[in-house]
Amino acid sequence: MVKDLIAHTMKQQGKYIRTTICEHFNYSRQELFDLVKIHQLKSYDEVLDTVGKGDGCETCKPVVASILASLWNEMILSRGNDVVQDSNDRFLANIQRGGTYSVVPRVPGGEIHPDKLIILGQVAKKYGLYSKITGGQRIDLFGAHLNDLPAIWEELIAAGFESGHAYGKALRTVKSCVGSTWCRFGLHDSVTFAIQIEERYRGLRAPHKLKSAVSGCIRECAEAQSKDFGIIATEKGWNLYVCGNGGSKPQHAQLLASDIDSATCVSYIDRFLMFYIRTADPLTRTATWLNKMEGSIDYLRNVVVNDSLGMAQTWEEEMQRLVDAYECEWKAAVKNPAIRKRFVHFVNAPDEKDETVRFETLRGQKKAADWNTAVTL
Amino acid sequence: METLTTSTTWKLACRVEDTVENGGVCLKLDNQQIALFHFKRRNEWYATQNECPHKRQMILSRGIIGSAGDRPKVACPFHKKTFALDTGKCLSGDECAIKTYAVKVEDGWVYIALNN
Repeated sequence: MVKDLIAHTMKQQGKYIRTTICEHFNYSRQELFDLVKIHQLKSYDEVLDTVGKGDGCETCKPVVASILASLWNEMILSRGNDVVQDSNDRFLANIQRGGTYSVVPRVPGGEIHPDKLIILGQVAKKYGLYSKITGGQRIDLFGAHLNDLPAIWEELIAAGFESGHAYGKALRTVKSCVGSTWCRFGLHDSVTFAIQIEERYRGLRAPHKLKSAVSGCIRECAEAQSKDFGIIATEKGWNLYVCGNGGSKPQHAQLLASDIDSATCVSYIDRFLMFYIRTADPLTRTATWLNKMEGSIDYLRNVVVNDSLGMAQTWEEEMQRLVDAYECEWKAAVKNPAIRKRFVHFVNAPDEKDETVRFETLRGQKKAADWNTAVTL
Repeated sequence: METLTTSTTWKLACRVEDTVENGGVCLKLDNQQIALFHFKRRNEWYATQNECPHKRQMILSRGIIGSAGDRPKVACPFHKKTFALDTGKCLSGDECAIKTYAVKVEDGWVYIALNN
């Protein structure tokens, strides 16, 4: 907040502000993105050696990891990039109290077959996991030991699931309301469109997490107006809204385009996402990015809808390349012995779990022991 | 004058190839959890307690390492509290330091001295 005040005051005095990454990179994220692209750098070490100085840190490593993922979409634990990933991406799972992890398979559009629901229940019981429905319309399984993650995911993948990227600064979910298939008010098939969108952008990494939704009518049961990009059905097509966020300072999305068809909607989203990925500062959600944008939604609309920067075709091609390069990283991890062997607590006792992990019981399921009373050996 | 020498007891930890370059691994030694870091960029090895004193979680080996100016550090994955890898001092302004241990590498094997 103080930083913003100082930046605002300096800008009013006509000074040009660049937010550099940290002591190891004297560039803004946008500049660093361009440099990594120009030099075709694929690993953190190459980036640090080519355009950075010193030995890196917990600030720049995840930023570079994000840039590499957004440019090349390679498996994030390959090329020695595993050690530069942030806390959750590091083991493709969300770290929880006690040092266990949570498992979140993708459930596109929030639609799930009863057979698959049963499998999730069976896996949860087999590995003793706590299960909960998430705000993103999917299921989260908690309390997995690091050692068990590959086995759990092997079973989920065999059952037809893939990574939900709940651990990444990446696309999370595209929520849906039930729409025209069942709802008496539904104008269009919001579930089918939501699934299509989620399967297109799954795994896409960005300066921060991305959340989306598709609602089948104006009643907005999928809450698309609180999403980074949200779609609402109209009589004639879809309305596209952008730059909404939840969190500690919620902000509604703003209308970018109205009454467009599905293909146009996807084109605009491609362009919008690539523009955000290219230009936002690290860990900046779309709402903050728009709030800091000169010209705000009118400028953004000009860029995305009217192609005022002439970048539309390039961005759509770049997005298509990322989509084509997509592979579920858990599928890749499970098949790769070198990656699998990293999923151990003790490197000199790989079959042993962390014996300091403690659970308690609450409402018939387990929970992490209160870490204010944790006991160590 | 008599010179008193104490001998260091080196405990065999693991092979170099069991470790991660520019990152950490966790070892079970003498019923303790020890975080071992191979800071390959600097050609340095560090060992510390695995427990982060902030919320007492066995997790430091999974943290991102780096440098603050010239000093090597690790950031805890939970709340990003940073600790100097050479002295164990907390760099995030808290009063808690972590224990550090000497490391030596010989013939592809890593040894840690626990009796510091």
